[in-house]
Amino acid sequence: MVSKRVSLPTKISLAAKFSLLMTTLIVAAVMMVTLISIAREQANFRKELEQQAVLLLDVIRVNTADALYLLNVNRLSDVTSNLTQMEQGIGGRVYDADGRLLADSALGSTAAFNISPEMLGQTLVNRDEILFNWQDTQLEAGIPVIVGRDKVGAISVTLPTSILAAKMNQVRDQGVIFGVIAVIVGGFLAIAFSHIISEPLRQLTAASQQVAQGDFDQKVNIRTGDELSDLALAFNTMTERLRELVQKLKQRATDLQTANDHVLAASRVKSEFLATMSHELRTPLNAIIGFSDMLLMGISGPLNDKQIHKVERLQENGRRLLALVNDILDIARIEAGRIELRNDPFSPEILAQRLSAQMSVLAEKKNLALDTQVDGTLPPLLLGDEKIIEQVVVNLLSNAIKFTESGAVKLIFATEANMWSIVVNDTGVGIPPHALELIFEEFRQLDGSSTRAYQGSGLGLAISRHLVQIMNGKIGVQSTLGEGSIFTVHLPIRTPEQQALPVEKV
Amino acid sequence: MFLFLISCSVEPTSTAIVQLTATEEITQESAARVFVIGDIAESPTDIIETHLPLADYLVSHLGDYNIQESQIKVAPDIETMALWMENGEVDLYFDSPYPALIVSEQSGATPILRRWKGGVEEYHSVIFSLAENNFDSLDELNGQFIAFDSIYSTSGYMLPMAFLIEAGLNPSEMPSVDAEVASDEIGYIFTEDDDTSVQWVISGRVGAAVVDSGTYRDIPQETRDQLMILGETETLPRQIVVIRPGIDSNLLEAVRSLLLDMDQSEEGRLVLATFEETSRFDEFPGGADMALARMRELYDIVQN
Repeated sequence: MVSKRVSLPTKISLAAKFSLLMTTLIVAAVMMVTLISIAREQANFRKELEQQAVLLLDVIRVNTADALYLLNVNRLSDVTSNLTQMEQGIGGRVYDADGRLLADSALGSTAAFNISPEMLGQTLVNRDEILFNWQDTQLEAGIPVIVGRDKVGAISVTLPTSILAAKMNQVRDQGVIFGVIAVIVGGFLAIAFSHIISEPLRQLTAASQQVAQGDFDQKVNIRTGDELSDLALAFNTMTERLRELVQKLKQRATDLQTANDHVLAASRVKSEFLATMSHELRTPLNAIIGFSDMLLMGISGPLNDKQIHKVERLQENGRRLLALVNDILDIARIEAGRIELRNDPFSPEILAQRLSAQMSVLAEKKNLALDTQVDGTLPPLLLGDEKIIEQVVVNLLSNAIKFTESGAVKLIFATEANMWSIVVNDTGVGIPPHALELIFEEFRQLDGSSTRAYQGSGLGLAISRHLVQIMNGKIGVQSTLGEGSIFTVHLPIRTPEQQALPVEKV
Repeated sequence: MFLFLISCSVEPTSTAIVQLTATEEITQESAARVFVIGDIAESPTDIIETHLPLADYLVSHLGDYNIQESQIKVAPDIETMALWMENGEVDLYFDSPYPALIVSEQSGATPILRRWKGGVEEYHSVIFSLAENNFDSLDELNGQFIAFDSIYSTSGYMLPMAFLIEAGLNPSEMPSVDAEVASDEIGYIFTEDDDTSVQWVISGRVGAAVVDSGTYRDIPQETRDQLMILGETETLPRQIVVIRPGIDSNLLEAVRSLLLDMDQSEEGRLVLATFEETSRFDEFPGGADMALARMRELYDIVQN
């Protein structure tokens, strides 16, 4: 058997809430009025009944004083019996000076001859004033009877409260009838009044929903002359402004699209230029370098020392020009956004070894020690573009060797939190403090000037910074003049087995 | 002091004439004789209602004696009743022995029969106290108060009074319960009501009281269990029928017979029932003389 879950409505309309509230308030008000009426009637009746009791006691006292003084129980019985004939439910009792019952309208002639006193009799005899005892269905009142200075006994009367009960029931019934009428009338009024409020709100809600779906031509017509009118006016003004804003945004988007098209066209032209110029520039330079190699190899016959020196100079300049062209093309490619990173696994250990082998020739030429160190906490495989990383490290190591005359250059691969670092540490000339940021700009040299104090295009560090940023990393430098520099590259750790952790922003 | 006079004729129906007069003499002789029943009371209307059926019954059977009308006369006191009987204004009167004897002595009227009032042919007096008073005998009532009914009560005065005197005690009337009672006397005070006397004992107003045996029996058992009877008197007839002096002997005998035979007929029993639940009339046991002799003896003790 499939059970069906019935869920309560989660949304109750404002009109329903208002109607419910009004009805609740009406019911509460009617109940309060009814209760107050009942309490007031009860208080009045109690007062009247007590007054009646006082009168009755006075009459009985006058009629029983002599008989009570003489303990004439038959006469006392006659007096109390007459009480029952006055009104149904009225009763009376007479007690002697010790509280013994002498006469009781309910018992007739059998009331007398009680040896033991009664509690009520004793209580009344010992009082100086009237006693009122309100019970469930009757009021009991009593006083002592005094003849001269002596208390000769006491009398009590009981008066039924059935009239009170009838009155209370009448008030209650009237309250219920009034309450039902009030609820019905109030309910209708509440529904009508809530409609006055909820209908404008419904219009506003519907219009708002249309606006949310993009229809800014909505207008709400509410002329209730109150806050709802103000709200409608504000809504209409808001939608008008929104419409204007959207139109402006659309226009701007069109303009941006046009500009973007131009940029894309320019970028396309630039890319084509780069591709064309890359080939046009490299080809003759490679030819120059190639032909110079051939000359040095003696392809056209042996060369004398002077000729060899000139060809070697030619070859060196060709290589330098080729390197400059490569750097410029790299910058151009970077600015054109043409760098596409690979995301292949590579071994940092193997990379470090290759770099060490590659750069050790340069270091040996200057009698510099080149130390390489790979931290054991590094994962065996990392994900990334090994060629780009190698290009950056080669640039840093080249600079370190170039600007170090003696001492050592260190290459360190390590891990730091969620990143892995590539540190190139040298004992070179150092970098002045004001140039620490400038050296990463294009065409800037060590001394921060644009003149060529050292060989190089001045683009290496700029290219390295761009490449590191493309890889979501960061590059920084610490240096002390005369003591050396430490270049540090931080890259996010990404392994074939896990996602890369968020890159720390510098 | 006023008296009610009701006059009723036998045929065709009874008519009642109410007069409000001072004591007056009414002539005995008229064209048709009237048979008068009398009583002593403070509420004449009740007496008239209870006595009228009896009066009508008797008159209806005394036609041979030229009696065709009945009357009920209610006297305010014994002296008036005695006067009426002496004068022949009242032919028949019923009362307990003591007042009946007083009337008889003063008027010459004659007790003729015993009346079983309320179904009781005879009764006596009971002298009692609260058990907690620890009175072991009547002697311990010396210096105490005892409540009597009224001065003309047989059970509430004459019998206990004679009883105490014959017991060698000295009952002495007191004006109030606040009076000082000598140690060699018993102070008595009239309460005018037997139930009041009982209540006075319970409420501690007096040390003892005396009531008739019927009244004592009517006290609730749980109350009686806490009372102590100190003495009980001899019994006397509950009520006596007294007839006026000088009545015709035949008429007297006719009346006696009528009364004696009333319980033998349905009509008679119905009338008796209305007459304060009288069950019957009968002769004095042992004869009228003997019964009356003891009653007169007791009367003399008390009167003297």
